[in-house]
Amino acid sequence: MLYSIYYLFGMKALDEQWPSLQYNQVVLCVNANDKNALIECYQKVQNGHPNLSFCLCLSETSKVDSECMNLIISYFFFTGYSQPSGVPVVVLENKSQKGFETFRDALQKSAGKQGFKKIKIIEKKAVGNIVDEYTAAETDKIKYDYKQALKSPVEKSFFIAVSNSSEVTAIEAMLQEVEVAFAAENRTVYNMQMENKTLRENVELLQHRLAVAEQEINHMASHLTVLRSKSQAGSLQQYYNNEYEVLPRWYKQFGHVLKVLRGNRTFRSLFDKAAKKI
Amino acid sequence: MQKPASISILFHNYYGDDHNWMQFFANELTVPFHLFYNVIGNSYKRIKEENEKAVPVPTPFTPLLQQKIIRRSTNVGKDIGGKLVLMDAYLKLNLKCDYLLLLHDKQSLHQHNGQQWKSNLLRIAEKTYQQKVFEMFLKNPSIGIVASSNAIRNEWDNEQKKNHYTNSSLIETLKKKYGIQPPTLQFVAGTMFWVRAALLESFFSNYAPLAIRATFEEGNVMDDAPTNTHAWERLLCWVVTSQGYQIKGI
Repeated sequence: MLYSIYYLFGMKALDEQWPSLQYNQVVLCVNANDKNALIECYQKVQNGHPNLSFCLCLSETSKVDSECMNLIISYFFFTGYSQPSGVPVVVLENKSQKGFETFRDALQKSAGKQGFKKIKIIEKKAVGNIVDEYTAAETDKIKYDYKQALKSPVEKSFFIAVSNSSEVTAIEAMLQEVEVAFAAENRTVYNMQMENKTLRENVELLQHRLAVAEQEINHMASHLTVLRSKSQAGSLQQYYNNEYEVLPRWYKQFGHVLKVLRGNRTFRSLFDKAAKKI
Repeated sequence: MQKPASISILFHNYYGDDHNWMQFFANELTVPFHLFYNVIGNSYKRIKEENEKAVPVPTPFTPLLQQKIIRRSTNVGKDIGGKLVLMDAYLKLNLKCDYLLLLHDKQSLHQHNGQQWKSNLLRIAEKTYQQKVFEMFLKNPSIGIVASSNAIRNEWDNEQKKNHYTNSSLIETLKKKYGIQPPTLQFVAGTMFWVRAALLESFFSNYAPLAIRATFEEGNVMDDAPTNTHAWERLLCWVVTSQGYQIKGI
């Protein structure tokens, strides 16, 4: 689908099974300040939905302490956590611009220390009467707004609060229908928009792969540098010469007999070079 | 009849080859186990194999597997960083096992004897050694860690004769910060060992694994200069010995 639909779930929804969403996104809504809720949600995802593809929507982001911050970042390590091209996606509720920016910066800094160079923050406004969110019951409004969004070149995110999987299925089907109808009426425009979206995603992916390949080349180069500089084969040879080669022949031969007696060498190999030694 | 030990394996995978590792676990484990398996999302090997798609890591085909917990992390802190991601998951899931087995797919590409080193370290996971490991723990309550005897070192005897991890300001600062005062500087080089789970649970309940990981270096950090990552290769064992427990070899 052209635009991203984010289905907002509360933790209670994790008590039932969910369909896998091909195009859109399950978003788990959690209070960023509530340590117990963050842990409970974590356990529910792992124990009940280990293959769930999802991202987090965080509310109450003022005064989040380091413990909660690490709890939030621990979700990024789920294999199903939404990370297109290695960039974790987080929806942040914006109740105040200053609070939003403060938390966003703190989250990016903490995530950076865990190796996430970038995070994709999606802002969901929740200021006064301006709430950037639909309820599942507002199907007519969703349908109309989605149709309008398809006509606009500006990318829009849709947040729809749902409480069960059948609501998701119904909305998915409805929006698919709207998009197919739009595509049929505006074939050229739709195709160009889809191609633009695909190209943008491919560019991000290729940039990510390039960065990873460059990193691998640097790793290999540093390994080679170490191998060449220390000349480990040379030091191994020197060790062998100093510890073994200097010993008299009779002593070495006695050592081979000892090996046979201890079971570290076969008896036959003392007389036959072709025989197996061990 | 003695109840079989409950164990969790914390395995960090950088080089891919998941099928063979799952085969290894299925073949070698002799008791029920939880498998915590960390992969590096931005490892070249993994991206090459998976083409960035979330290919599910296969499940080891054994009735002894209790639960498979997969994590996908960034390349921070090498294998120690990966094991801390898994330790974090282990604590959050509240499993409370008897023993943990820390492993990773070591290759040591910069060492000429990398393959030999890997074999020495990994043999503690093989079935021929497992019962002996459990017996050691049961017969001697003072044992905290069991590792391959070839891997047990003492930092005072290190071949490079450097003080990076004996009395440098880095190591002294870390020891003080985390309240770690080992009686000796004995540790397991390569960080693959069996450990009584409670010893690490108690430490990491006080010092969050991810908070420690946040101090680690990114990428393929080498140990020619002191690093937090390599300091924790020692400190992870010293956490155990400073609680009065011993490291024994097998």
